[in-house]
Amino acid sequence: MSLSYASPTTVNEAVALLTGATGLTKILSGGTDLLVQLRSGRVKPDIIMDTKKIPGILGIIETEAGFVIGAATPGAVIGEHAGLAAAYPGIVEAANLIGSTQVQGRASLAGNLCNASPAADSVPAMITAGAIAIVVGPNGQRAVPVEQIVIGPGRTSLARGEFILEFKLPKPAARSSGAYLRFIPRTEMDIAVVGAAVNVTLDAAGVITHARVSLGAVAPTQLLVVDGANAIIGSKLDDAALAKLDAAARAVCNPIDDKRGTIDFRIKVAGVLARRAAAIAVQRALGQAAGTKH
Amino acid sequence: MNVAMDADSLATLKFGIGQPVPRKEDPTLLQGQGRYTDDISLSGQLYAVIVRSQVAHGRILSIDTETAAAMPGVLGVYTGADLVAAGFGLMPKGLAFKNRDGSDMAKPDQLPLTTDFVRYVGDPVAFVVAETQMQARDAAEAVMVDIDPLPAVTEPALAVEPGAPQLYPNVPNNLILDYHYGDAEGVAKAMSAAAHVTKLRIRNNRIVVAQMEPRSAIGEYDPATDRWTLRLGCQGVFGMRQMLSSVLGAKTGNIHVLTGHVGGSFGMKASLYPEYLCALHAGRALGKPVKWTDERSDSFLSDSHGRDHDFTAELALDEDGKFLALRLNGFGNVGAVMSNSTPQPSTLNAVKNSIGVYRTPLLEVNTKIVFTNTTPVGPYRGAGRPEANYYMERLIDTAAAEMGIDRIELRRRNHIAADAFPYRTPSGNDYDSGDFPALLDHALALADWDNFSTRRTESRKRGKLRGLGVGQYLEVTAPPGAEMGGIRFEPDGAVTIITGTLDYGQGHATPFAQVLSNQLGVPFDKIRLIQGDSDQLIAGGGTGGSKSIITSGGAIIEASGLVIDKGKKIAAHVLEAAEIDIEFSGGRFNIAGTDRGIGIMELAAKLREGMQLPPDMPTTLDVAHIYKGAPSSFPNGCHVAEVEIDPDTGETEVVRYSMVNDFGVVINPLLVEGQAHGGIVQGIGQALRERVVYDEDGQLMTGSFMDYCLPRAVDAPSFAFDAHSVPARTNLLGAKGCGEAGCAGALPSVMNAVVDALSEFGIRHIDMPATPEAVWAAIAAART
Repeated sequence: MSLSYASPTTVNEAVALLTGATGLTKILSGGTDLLVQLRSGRVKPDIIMDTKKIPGILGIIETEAGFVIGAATPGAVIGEHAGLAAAYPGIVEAANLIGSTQVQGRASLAGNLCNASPAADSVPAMITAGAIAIVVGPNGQRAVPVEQIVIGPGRTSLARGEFILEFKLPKPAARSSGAYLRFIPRTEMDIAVVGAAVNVTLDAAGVITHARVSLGAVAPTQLLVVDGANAIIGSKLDDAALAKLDAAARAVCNPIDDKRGTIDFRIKVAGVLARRAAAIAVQRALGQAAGTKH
Repeated sequence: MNVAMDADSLATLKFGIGQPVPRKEDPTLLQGQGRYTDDISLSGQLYAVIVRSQVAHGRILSIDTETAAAMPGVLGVYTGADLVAAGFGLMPKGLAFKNRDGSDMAKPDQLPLTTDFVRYVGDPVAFVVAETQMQARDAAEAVMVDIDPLPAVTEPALAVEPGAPQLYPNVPNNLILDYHYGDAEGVAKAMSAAAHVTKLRIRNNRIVVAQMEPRSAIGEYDPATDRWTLRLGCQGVFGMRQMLSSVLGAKTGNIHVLTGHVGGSFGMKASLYPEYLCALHAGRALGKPVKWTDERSDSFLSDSHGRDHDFTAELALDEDGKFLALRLNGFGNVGAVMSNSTPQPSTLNAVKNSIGVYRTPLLEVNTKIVFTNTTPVGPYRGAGRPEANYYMERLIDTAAAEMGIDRIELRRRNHIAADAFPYRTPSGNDYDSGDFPALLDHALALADWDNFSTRRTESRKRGKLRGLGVGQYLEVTAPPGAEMGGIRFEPDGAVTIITGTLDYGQGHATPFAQVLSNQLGVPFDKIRLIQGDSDQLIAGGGTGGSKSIITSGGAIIEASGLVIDKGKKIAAHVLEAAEIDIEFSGGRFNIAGTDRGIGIMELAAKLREGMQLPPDMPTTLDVAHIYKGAPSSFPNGCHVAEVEIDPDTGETEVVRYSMVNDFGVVINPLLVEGQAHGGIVQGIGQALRERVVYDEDGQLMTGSFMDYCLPRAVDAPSFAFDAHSVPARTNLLGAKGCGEAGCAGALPSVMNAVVDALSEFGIRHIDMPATPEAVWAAIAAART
């Protein structure tokens, strides 16, 4: 039983290492999930490949076209990026809900995504923001919408030898914003019982022209709730639209019944949080202050 | 006789009685320089790891230690059979109670480590000692315990049913104690004749203690002196030594118990646990000190849990709302092992504390104390007192709602009057003092009770339900017991207090020094405290039941009187006066009517330097005194909680919290308020978040802080704190124990507020913990 550690300095080196490896290889970004799993004996990898020495994998680049977020960028860096916080407040608030202040110093978006927990906080927010994962591997590079990465609890669509290098986000249209809310039995440092993210774009009159809605922890993967978005597009988020959103959110839920929350409760709260996240997103798009506390 | 406490003149002194003096130990602890048991490492020390049962119930077929014993660094692997062979006896059997028929309660024999059956997940079955902690851990995993599983039972009401799994062959139906107190016939008559009877089934949720410092112990044995030494965190080294004596079969003089800093206990560390005996056995067998320190996940399994009652509570009232009788029928779940659990909270303490501040002429308590395949349940902050107050206060709010009487008015109609003392309760307690009606008014004023509707309207605008609740409690604290009052004038000029209570976070050194400084005029900063060394004690009741200031404070006062008596003799000699002419005040021995005298510190210095003294004269001021103790005290108070509930998610937030307490004479208000804060947050935790859950196989579902929801600082509002003190008449300080009161006030006030907020849905009761899901489900059920 030996465990080897590698820290390649280029993408090619990393891909070669992953492709050539025998046994189980785990990718180390922040390690906030992996190290816990290692210590508890839940995973027993043969190789741990640390990606953090690969150029570009740490940090945020803001361009004319949008943002490029390195896959291993820690939550603390994401939280301090004023441009990203203004453009995608939902992603920033979701990323910053992961773990504690100490964990924030390491925890990354790619790690949160590829750990493939149904309850991962940042994933619904990235989905509603339309984030694209840039996946590198033996066949080169491909761009994959974030909602296509996770295919089940603990499982991703990444092929052997592939890993995520970065995330791309477009510059948002005018009067766009987003929000993420989660429900937990306590006030911090907990796993979502339900998570809900909403992104909206408004026209000059305040009517929603574009929306994306995503739910976490209510199904084996995070859900993109198209019916929920359609329920509010064309509205100013009046009570009728909110009720339709609530119903649409509840309709797609397929949660588990466990000690953290029953099926009925998760479904009900999914509707509530979808409504509340939509309201915050619209307020933000209108340029009004909106707290992050639900 | 001592100089009487003159609180008025001393209150102005910086370290006098009633001054908010910061804790002496804070600089040490806050800089990480505390010495908890695990911080101690002795030369040649080895490490023990415990092997625990992973099933809740089963017969041990075999324990294979061979593989583990052969692993690197492993020096010993031991089982219960080894302890028996080494002469270790049975575990202590704890308090004795009688069944309702007069027979003794069941007390099955229990070995330190079980050899035949395992009875809960976490039941220790073997232990491994190695040169390093990691080696011991690895080897512990290699110990093969073959267990034939048996059906388990975790609920007391199910455990007494015919056909339920039996934990002990000589305890039929798992019934340890069929406890009865009171006038059953009188209560039955009152219930049937009453204008109204309110009846509630109340589950008092099981909780984990969650103290910061895990249990830890270092065991040693010195063959040259035939002495055992145990270093551990506990609640009193004198009592711990006594318990060890019975299991080790050694005289107490051959046992040395040492306790340094203790990072929380709340009752839990008072017991003698098997792990300590394992460390001692290995220490002797291997001839080296052996350290064992629990890990948090094992703490969840092996530290005694708290609460876990299941009661049906009934209150009979006449047409005016006067209380006629109170009856509690139910179960106390004590888990699987008697040695570190206790039947007292749901029996005797239910009797003593359920009456509270109200005139209730008749009382009956019937409790079935039951074994289940769960972690033992021991004393936990209040140990039955907060539970009992909770039952009564929930009954009162429910009765008020059912009868259409204002809940404050209903309390006022039933208060024991301020001029009724001494007042004998139907539980046989003699309340000495208090002013319950005025205290209630004081609390309502502090809480701005009258303007609640304005705040509720404001909450409603934000879509929130708002509720308001009171919990007026009275606890019967400080069970009487002897305590040492030792005072020693040290060569370096310090004065040492030696007493057998034990500080596990309360801050005893400071108020004890305030008392001594007050009595003898000894400078506060010269005073030290010895409490955790059994060799220094001639008595010691330990800490528990909110009694330390009363017992150790009383012991210090009496011992101070003896110091003064000795000092007068010596001072008379030094001052060349008659002893009868010497007066003591303000730290000085003076010749009455003159300005001639000598300070106590100066006198001690003279004695140290050596002084020619007549043969019949004391040669030191030192005193080793045993104080016989004082009767129970009756702290009481009224807490007012205000909650906001989000009806869509069921989330409950405590938004305001006010309290007025009667702790009698308060020695150090800073520490007392801190005690209240801590107790209240624990109470909020039990009321809104915490709950131990077992599955049907007896597996602990809430075995980490991931799944067990402990409250955090942000879950508590700022507290409004006020005192309405009526000095106790029954102890030398006039004090009333404060340590457990926070829980007693918080459980009823928070839950009464939650039910108040939900009352518009017709909800009359919800069990603790009022988690978001439980609240939401109650609302959803009420709406359909």
